[in-house]
Amino acid sequence: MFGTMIRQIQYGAQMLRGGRLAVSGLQGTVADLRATIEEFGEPGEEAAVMLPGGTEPDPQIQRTMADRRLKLTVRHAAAHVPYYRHLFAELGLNPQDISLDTLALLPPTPKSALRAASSAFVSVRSEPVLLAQTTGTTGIPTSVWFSQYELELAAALSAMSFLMGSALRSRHIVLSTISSRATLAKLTVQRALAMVGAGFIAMGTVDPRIIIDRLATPMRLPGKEPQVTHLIVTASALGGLVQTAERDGWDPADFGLWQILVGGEVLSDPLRSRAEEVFGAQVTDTYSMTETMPTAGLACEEGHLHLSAEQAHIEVLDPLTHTPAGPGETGTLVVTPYTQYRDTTLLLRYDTGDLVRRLPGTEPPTCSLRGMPATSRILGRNTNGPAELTQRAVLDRLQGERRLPLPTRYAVSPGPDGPRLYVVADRPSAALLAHVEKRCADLPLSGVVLLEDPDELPEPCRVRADLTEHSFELPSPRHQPVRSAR
Amino acid sequence: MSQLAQALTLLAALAALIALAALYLRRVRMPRPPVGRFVRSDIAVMTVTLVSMPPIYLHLPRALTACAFGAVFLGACSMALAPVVGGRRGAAVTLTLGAFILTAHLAGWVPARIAAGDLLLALAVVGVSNLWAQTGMTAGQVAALAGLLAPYDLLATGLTSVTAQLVHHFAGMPLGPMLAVNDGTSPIGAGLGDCLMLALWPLVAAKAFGRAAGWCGAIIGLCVVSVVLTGPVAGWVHGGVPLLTGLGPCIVAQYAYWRTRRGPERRTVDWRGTAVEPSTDPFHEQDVAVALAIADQHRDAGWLAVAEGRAVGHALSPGGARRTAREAGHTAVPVVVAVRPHGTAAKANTPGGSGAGQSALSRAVGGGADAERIARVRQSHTGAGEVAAGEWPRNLG
Repeated sequence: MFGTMIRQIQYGAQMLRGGRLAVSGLQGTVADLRATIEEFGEPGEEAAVMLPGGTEPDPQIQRTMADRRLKLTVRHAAAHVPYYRHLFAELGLNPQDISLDTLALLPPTPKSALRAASSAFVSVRSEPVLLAQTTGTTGIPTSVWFSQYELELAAALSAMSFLMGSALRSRHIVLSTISSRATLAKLTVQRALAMVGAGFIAMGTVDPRIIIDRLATPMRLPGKEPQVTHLIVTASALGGLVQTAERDGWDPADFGLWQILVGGEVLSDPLRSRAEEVFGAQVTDTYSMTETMPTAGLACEEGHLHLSAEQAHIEVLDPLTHTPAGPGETGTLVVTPYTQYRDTTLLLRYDTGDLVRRLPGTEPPTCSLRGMPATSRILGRNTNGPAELTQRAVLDRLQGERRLPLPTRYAVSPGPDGPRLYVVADRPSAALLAHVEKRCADLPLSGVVLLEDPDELPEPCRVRADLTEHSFELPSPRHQPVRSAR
Repeated sequence: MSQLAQALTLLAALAALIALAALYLRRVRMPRPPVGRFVRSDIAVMTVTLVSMPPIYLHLPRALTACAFGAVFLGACSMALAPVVGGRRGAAVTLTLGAFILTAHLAGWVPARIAAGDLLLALAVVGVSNLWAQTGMTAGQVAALAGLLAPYDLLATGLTSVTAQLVHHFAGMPLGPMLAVNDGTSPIGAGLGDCLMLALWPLVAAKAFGRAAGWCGAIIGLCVVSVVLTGPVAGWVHGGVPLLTGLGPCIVAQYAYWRTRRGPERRTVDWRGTAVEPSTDPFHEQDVAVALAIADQHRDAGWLAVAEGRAVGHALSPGGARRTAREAGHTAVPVVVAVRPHGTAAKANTPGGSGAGQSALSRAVGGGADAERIARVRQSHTGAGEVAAGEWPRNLG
C-alpha cells in the first residue's frame, strides 16, 4: 500500500514535470494493479482516473500541460534530430519560439519524408534497438526505430490499458492474427499480456480456416478459460474470418470469444455487426500506428474515435491547406508524440494521412470516453477522389451485402461522367448489381461495375489480409488423406 | 466503582467494540484506493511506526500530542461514518463529538469526557480495522503484526516503564489513545493498539477462514482480556499489564490452526462472493491423459473430443472436433486431443505395460476386463498413418 502510494506520487510528479517516466515504477504499478484485481476482483472505484481520458481535466490545465510537453518535444527534436535540425535552419525558425500557439509555423512532416530516410528522424542521443517496419498496403514500408525505454514503456502502458480499459485478466487467452512481421505490435502485446498474466497465441495472418479452428479449440490450461477469449485482428482479416465462419456454418456456441479488438484498417458497421453475430463477441474498434506509438485511439459507444491527449499533440488539418479543419469538416490526423514517451524516432506534426471528421458543433461529447478528444472514426486514407467517397462510406454500403465476398475488394476510378465503383464479386449477376447500386445510390458515383477477378480492378486493392503467411496445417490438395481399408 | 465493576465494564466495552466492527464489516463497504492492497512491507512500516512513536510522544508537549491524536481520531471517525450516514453528516457528527469532548474537558465533566472520548476512539477503531480488513490485509499479515508487537509490548509495558510513562503523560488528556473506564494515572483501560488488534483479528480471520474463525478470534481475544484483567482486580499485579504479549501468540496460534485446517486464505473477492473465475471446471473433470488414452484406441486419425470418459466428437481439426461434439448435443467443453498415428503410442500402451497411458486408460474404463478389451481392439487395428477421409476443416465430421 505504501509502495503503491509512493509510485503513484512519483508518476504524478513525472507527468507534471514532462520528463522521462520511470519504467520500473510503471511496471510496479501494473503489478500493483494486477494484485489489486486478484485480491478484490476489480480495481478501486476511481481507477479510471489512471487511464488517459479517465477524468475530465480542466481545459486550461490541459492546455498548459500540452504546451509544456510540446515545447520540450520541439526543442529536443530541433537539437538532436537531423531532419528537424535542418528544417529549423532552413526555415529560420528558433525552436524556442514554437509553442502551442505558434505550432502552425512548422510544416507537417509528410509520411514520404520518413519513408525516404527513417534514420534522419532518429535522435543522435538515442540508443535504437529495434527497427519496426509498418505492414501498410501502399507498398513501401515505413521504418521506425525504437529504444528499449520506448518498448518497455509502451508495454507497461498497454498492460494498464488491457487491465483497466479492456478488463483483460490472467484467466483470458488472447489470439493475435496480426502479421508476424508487425514486430512492434507483436512485441508490445506479448510483453503487456505477460505483465497481465493472460495467455497469448501469436498465429500470424494465416488462412482464416486455421484461425477459426484455433478459436474453437478447447485448451485445458490451469487458471485459464477453456477457449480463446480475445482476438486481435485487422479489419480485412476479420472480413475473411466472418466470411469463412458464415460459409462453413460455425455457431457462436463453438467459440468462447468475449472481445474482438480490431485495428489497422477501417472497420465498417455492417462488418462489426456480422462479426458480433457469427462469433458472439463484442467488437471493439481501435486505432494505432507504429509511427505514433504509444498514442492509441478507441472508438466509443457513440461512434467517436477518442485519442489520448496525454501522449501526443493531435491536430485535424485540412489535407490540402494544412490549416485546422473546422467543426464537421474532414481533415487528416496530424500527430506529435511527446518526448516523454518517445526518445528515438521523433516526429513533429506527423501527417498520418488518415482522414477523420471533426465533430460538428462546439458541445463536448457525452459518451463514456468524453475526457479524451474526439473525432469521427477513421474515414479512410486521404485520396484525390470526392470527399464523400471515403473508404468508410463505400465499405459501410458494400459489407452489408452478404453476397459480396469478404474481405471487400473495390476501386474507385474516374469515368467520363464521374467516379465509377468497381467491386469484386464471386458470381456477378444483374440482380446483385442492382442490389449494390441501390445500396450505393447516395454516393456520388456515375456507375457500379462488378468484376469476378480482382486483377481486373483499375487499380490494385490491397488489404492487410493479403499478408497471408504459409502454413503446413492445411493439407495440400495433392495429398488428400485416404481412409485405410478395414 | 469497584475495580471488578470497572474491569467488567471494560470487558463489555471491548466486546461491544468487536461486535460493532464485525457488524460494520458485514454491512458497510468502504471505498478503497484505485490501486493497492496490503503487502508485507506495509506491516514492516506499521511495526516500525508503532514501536518508534511512543518515545517521541513522551518528548512532545501534551497539547500537541492531544491535537495529533484528535486529528487522527476525528479523521478515522469521519471515515467510518461517511459510508453509513454520508460524508457531510459523518463529518458533522464527528465534529460535534469532538466539540463535546473539548467542552466536557474544559468544563470538568470527567465521566462525560471519558465516555465521549471512548466513543470517538471506538468509532475510529471500527473505521481503521475495517479499512485494513477491506483493503486486503490478510490474516497472515495481522498474525505477523501481532507476533512482532507481542515482545515489544512485553518490553515496553512489562519490563520497562515506557507505557507507564505514556499513561502518566496522557492522564487527564481529552483525546488520549486509550479506551478507559476511569481517569487518573492508573486507569483501567485498553490502549489503542490493544483495541485495534482485538477488533481487527476477528475481521480478517472471518474474511480469510470463515465465520467460525471470526467468532473464535473474538472469544479468545476477550478471554485474554479477562485473564489480563484478573491480575489488577485480584491485586496480584500493580501497574500496566502487556495485553498484546498474551494476545499476540494467541493470534499466531489461531492463524496456524486455521491455515492448517482450512488451507490458503480466501481473497477479499472470494469472501465477498464476487469472484469471476474460469467456469467451475468447464471440462467436468475430464483428464487430458485419459482422453489421450481413449484417443489412442480410436480408429481414424484426426482429433477426438472426449467428455465424460468417452469420445463425443471427431474431426480432422481440433476446433472441428469441438464443433462435432457441440452438434451432437454436448454443450460442455470437451477435452480435445489428437489421435496419434498407431505405433507412436504403442510402447506406452502395450497390454501389460506400465506407461502413463495404460494406467490412465485403466482409470478411464474402470481397469480390468474393460481395459483388456480395449487393448485387444487396439491390437487388432494396426494400420499406420491412416486418416479419415474428408476436407479440412470445412467438412468437420
